[in-house]
Amino acid sequence: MSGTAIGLAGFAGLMGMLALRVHIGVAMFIAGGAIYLTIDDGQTAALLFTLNNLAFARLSNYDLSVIPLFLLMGQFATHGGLSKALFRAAGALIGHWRGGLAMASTAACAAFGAICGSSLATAATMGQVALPELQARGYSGRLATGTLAASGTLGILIPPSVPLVVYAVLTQESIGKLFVAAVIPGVIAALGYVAVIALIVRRNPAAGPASAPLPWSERLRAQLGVLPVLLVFLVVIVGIYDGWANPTEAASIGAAACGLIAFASGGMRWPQLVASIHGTAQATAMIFVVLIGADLLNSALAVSQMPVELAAWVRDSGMPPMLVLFSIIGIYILLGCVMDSLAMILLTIPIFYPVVMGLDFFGMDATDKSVWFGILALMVVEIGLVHPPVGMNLYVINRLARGVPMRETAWGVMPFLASDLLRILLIVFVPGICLWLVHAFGG
Amino acid sequence: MHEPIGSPDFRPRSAGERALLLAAKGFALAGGGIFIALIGMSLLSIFGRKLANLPITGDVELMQVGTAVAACAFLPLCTILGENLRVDFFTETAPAWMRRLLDAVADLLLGALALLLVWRTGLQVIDIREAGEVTPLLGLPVWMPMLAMLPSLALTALCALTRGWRDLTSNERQTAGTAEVAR
Amino acid sequence: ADGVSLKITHFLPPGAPAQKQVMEPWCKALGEQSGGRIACQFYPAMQLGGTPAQLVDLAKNGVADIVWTAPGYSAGRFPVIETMELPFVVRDGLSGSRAAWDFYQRHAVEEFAAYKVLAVHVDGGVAFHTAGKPIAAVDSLKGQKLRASTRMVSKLLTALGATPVNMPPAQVTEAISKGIVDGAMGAWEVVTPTKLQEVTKFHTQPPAGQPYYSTTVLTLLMNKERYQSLPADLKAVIDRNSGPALVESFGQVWDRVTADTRTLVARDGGTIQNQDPADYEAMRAAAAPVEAEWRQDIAKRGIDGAALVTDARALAAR
Ligand code: NA
Ligand code: NA
Repeated sequence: MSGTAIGLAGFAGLMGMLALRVHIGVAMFIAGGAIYLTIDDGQTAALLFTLNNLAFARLSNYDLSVIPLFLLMGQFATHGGLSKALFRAAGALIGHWRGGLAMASTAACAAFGAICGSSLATAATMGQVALPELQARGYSGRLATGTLAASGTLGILIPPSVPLVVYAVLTQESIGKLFVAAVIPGVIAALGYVAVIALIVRRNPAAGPASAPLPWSERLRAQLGVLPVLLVFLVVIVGIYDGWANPTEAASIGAAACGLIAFASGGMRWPQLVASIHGTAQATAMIFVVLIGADLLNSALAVSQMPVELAAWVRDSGMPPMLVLFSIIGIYILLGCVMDSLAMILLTIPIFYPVVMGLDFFGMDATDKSVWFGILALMVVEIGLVHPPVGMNLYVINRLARGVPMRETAWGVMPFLASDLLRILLIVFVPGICLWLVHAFGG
Repeated sequence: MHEPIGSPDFRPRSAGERALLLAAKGFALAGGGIFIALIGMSLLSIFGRKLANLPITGDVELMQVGTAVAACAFLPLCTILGENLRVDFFTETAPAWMRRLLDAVADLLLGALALLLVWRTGLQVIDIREAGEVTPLLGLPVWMPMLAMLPSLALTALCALTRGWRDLTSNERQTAGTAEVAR
Repeated sequence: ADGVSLKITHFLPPGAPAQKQVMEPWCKALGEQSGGRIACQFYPAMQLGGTPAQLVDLAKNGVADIVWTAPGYSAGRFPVIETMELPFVVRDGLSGSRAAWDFYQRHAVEEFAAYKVLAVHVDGGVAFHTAGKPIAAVDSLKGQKLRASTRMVSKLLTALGATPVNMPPAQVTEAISKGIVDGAMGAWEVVTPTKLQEVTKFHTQPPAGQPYYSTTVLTLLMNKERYQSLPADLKAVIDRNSGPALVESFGQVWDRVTADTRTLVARDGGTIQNQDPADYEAMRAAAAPVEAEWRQDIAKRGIDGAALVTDARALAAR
């Protein structure tokens, strides 16, 4: 067998194992090992010695230390009660509009996303805070759960974003550039969700009744709760882009600041600290297990030369680049039906990235192309979090919403999904949306 | 990005299993403690560098070896709670006994993999120690953090094998959290 | 009849001069002189996994057949060859590489005993590249945060009163443009691949003909068993093309790239300055503790550092 054939066979075996419930990291590991054992009449020694270094090399990566730090930051924010302050502030401002409290939930998710790198954590945290209020004010279960399931994805669409860190590590792209590139698309995503809510309540006013406006003094007072969060976001993001901290240091500052705010507000004591650490531990471990497996699979694929040959084949086939890109997006959306977003990135980027980098899009240079594709990849895997059958956010939100059938939640998220697809098209054809800020920052 | 929100789905059935869960939680806390210390180190370094041109020497390598040790200590808890990422879609409608069998196989494979890593990383500890490799600025022997990873990897193996064994031997269907169903 | 395919891995992108201008032509020569029985397969940018520090292990264990790497990445493992990296030893790529090879043969064969050593060479020497102000006297380094390429450079910068900062090469340009660091200390050949010339306008190098502030030793190492398993005629082909011949070619390519880089930097409006001899001597005096500390360290291993430095300087001055 040729290297490419072995690589493809390994990939097929991987898919089979995944279907049979083997842990994603373990399946990647076994597929990688099998490729090593088949290629060039068996590279057993090479495999074993690669394993010698696998765990330490993978886990001692400086850029990856950002992930547990950002997760810890989000956990501190969650357990420290920052979510409540955010929702209260947004609700005080626009809760009296028709559908206003749903829009406020989106805004609060966006703000929480600015200090939390994970979509599920954002959905779960804001869902706990916002769902009871929405239901108490007579919002339809469909609108309430759809809004929160979709808005939860702002946790990764707005930086900091764990999938972007993983993309950066896989492609040796700058975390800072990717984060800054994600800002405008993330804001567009939030605005798109707000627009969807406005359309829904326009057609069906009963879905999102307006509530009585609060006196201005109270509205302003509620905004005070947002200030610490705003401050942390500015410190972290501006710290990374504008001069004085690398992403790891910025994440350290953010985690420390969120921990202190949570402690000062009385929400962070020993039990909450333990819960924060346990939450961080599980989330970090589930990512790193996949990373270890992906590492072995990636070097095995490199040995097989499959990604290089595939990229060359696509390049020489004369297919229009846009057709290739839309095929990749289509594959992502299909994979998103059955797979976790992060695992998708780990699995596909080593194969799709060389393909995309080998093609010409609007004459972009390599860095621009790689940043743009990173944002696109983030957006398409984000969709996998909310579309049925296996959108994780749907499950999280649905479980928090008492008495709302899963079917309602799935229908409720559809209009938001439409806005996701529109946004992806927009970014495919107007890469400037992500690149403008990167260039403005002189990157 | 997924973060566990489900309630832990590992209910110990014996003193041994209770001890295992406790150890996994303890390892996770220790790892968290290391990360909090690394955050402190990072803050000292950045403010030292910014305000006094006095960064902490070797801050990067401390973060690297610290992350390796601490992240490794996170693995057992995730493993014993069955939170590792998987695809459930294709087996959602399969009979419970079949899913339990597949899960048992999956966990036994994970256990075997962890044991493999204990063995190979252990060999690397010996090699690196003999080679005398140190971190670039602090001269900290590299085999030390590698060695510190071994207990975590071994505990991960034990946790995975225990889960696998439970699934093989138990008749009751373990109630996986919603989160697990969706993975 | 049986052809061999050599797996070669290193830490730079495939377009780097080390691969394009040295190793690929080297492989071509091996192919031609072996009647097509030797071929190479390149795995650039750490494609076989691991970190740069582990490249030496990839060759030792046979994961790769050949690696090109800096022994300094695996700190503490090759203490003797580090002599060549000490401040004020190496003058340029070619003379420095010849010296490094001879020094290896005289003193460092033992620490590389696990490998078939194909080449030992150096980069052209590390210079100062700064954004805001040129480096001149030692005083001008006070309070400057500079990215350090190796641990020797870190120690040198500390001794000179500057603050060394460690970061991956890919982040340097961005970090300088945002003022995280004031500049970088690194070899000329890394300037254009990382677009350093776009963010640093001042470049300071030693007075003409004087040794550089430091350098990086680089090696091409082959798995020993793999080499020994080859038929005698193929071994002969590899031997004929390696050692001094290959070292020469590394040195020439580095000097050529260095010269091209200087031209390009000057064309883009950068200022290249040979340090004033008095400032240079003062800097050399201020850097003395680096060498003293290194001698103490290596003395713990029972090695006479002073003799090594003296010989390294003598070889590099030829
Ligand atoms: Na975020
Ligand atoms: Na999904």
